[in-house]
Amino acid sequence: MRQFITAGLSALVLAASAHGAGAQSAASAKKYRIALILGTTTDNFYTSMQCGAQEAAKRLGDVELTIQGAPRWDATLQTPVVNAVTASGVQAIAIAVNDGRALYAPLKAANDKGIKIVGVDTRLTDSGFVVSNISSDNRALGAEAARTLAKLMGEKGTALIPPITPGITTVADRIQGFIDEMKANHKNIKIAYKGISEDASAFSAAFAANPDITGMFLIANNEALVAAGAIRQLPASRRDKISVVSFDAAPALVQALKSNQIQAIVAQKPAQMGALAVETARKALMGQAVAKSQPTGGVGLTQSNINQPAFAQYVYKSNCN
Amino acid sequence: MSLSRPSGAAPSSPLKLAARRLLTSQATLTAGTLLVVMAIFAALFPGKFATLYNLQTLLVDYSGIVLLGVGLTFIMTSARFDLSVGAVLVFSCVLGTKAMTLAGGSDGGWGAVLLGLAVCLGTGLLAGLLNGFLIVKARVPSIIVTLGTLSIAQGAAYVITGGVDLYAVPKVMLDTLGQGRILGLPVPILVAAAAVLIGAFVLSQTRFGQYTCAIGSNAEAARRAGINVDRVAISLYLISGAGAGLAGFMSLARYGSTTLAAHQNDNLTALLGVVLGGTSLFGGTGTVIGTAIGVFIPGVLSNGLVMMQVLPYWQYIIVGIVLIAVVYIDLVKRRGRTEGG
Repeated sequence: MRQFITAGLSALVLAASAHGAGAQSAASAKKYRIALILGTTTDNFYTSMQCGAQEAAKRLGDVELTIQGAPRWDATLQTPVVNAVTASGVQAIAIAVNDGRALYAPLKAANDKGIKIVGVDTRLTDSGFVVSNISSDNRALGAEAARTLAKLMGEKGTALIPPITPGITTVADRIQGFIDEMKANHKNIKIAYKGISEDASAFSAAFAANPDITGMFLIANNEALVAAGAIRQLPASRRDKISVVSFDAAPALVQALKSNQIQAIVAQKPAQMGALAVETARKALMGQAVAKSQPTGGVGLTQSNINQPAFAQYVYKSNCN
Repeated sequence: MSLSRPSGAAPSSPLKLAARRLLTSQATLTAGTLLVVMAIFAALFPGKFATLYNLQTLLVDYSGIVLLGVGLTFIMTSARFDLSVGAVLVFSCVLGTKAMTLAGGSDGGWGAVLLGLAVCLGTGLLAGLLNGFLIVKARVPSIIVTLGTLSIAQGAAYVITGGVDLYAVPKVMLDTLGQGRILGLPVPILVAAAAVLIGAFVLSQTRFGQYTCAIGSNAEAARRAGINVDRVAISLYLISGAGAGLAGFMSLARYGSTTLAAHQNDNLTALLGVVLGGTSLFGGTGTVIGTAIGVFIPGVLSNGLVMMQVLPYWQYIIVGIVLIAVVYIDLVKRRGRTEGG
């Protein structure tokens, strides 16, 4: 009996795959089939990127856009997603790679099948075959954060940076840009580099160990949310002396900005990145030339400008509606 | 699981025995489930799902999990756990890369690759020895010990690298072991297949395999029957550790990076594959072939859901339901067995 079932099923598989050979492809003619693979599907930064990409696809009219990604920042989870997208027959893939080297082989294999590859946000270390890389200049934005924080701290005191989950190059660049700028132009500010980024009690311990901390640089969404919680627990007298500059304008962080727990936010432009990714992939498929590198800028958000529409538009989205 | 086979109805050849076991085991249920899922996706996505490219990349993507799963099958058959294999994998990547860096780094030759293999395997074996010793001699429960070594291995990987991925993997290793093919088949698939065949043979055909089942059924009875339970149990953790070390080596060959932030799900995915494949959560019975099939259920689901343009969140829900169902069936079977005498 079991043998029979198994045999029947295998026959079904064969029949289904044989059937496919002829019947496909008539329906979806004349559309550019583009996939956007997010860094993670759970970060508002990438949600905004998704919204920007979807708007661009709608505006252009001739793009069939697929959004994919794994829920965690893990190259071994992102690789099977890339392979499945490749097998599903898209013509171009725009991707925020979870690892600059680990994703090389699957993307190269996709490219060898004739699929155009566009880098968004993060990039491959060896991106010779990539059509274009679209990204923030993370070093420049890190330096901008340093200048802003130095001003808030009155050019003196100790600034705390929490270390990050290892292996993420964009954030490492951000920290490098921050440290370089502080060392070069703000010599009276000391940098303390300790704590564990996603653990509130580690922040509390860092505050206890360093009573002279008057500034903090928070390098991404999650870390900033956790740190904001730790700051809230400090006695008011101490809390008021700490200036915080944060990266990424997740709605929860903007809320913290409005209630003065954070004094400045460096927002990236993920929606613009997403839109550019779709436009760039489409151009490449049409055979048009595209720039190899397309930097997107940043925006400084503060309490005084956050309510103006020109700035409020850069707050990240938690959904696309 | 009895120690000696019933002699009266003994099948004529080991091959027939193996065939019969395969057909009557829970592995068949798993294979059936997998085939149904694959048939559905093949019908939904003609010319896309059931292509050589897709099936090969699927096999390659999950080959590392299979390596972990083989060792875990032995551990769980003996009614124990190993939660450390994912972290040991990453730790062995770190030490292996360090060793290969000394032997020439990216320009290293086969000597460097062999050194890397030895260091990766050695790291896994050492971790296995530590796990086994603490569980068997110190009598700390296996869940606690391996949870502890998980944390230690992960921390040590971060301390040694300073939290920055290492990349000095010999190019020859990436090109041949990671991306190469033998007789048209990707090398990672062949490595995983070899591990499955050896594991399946050892667990189902050797005395050591029978001892493993016996310990899992009833450790005290096994001890009284004269089995050196401690030695077998430590050997099981050595097998599991070696699997993690080999998986680490193959991960280096595929990704060319120590992938510090990755492999977080590997341990659970492998455990899931072992249970889906029909190895009893309560010890006593286990099948390596079943594991090799079980590992692909979440993999195939995820692959098909990406093609359906659904974010693979649904995979978690479906896999969760299948997992609970499989364990429930296992429980019902056991109940039937004890009630039946």
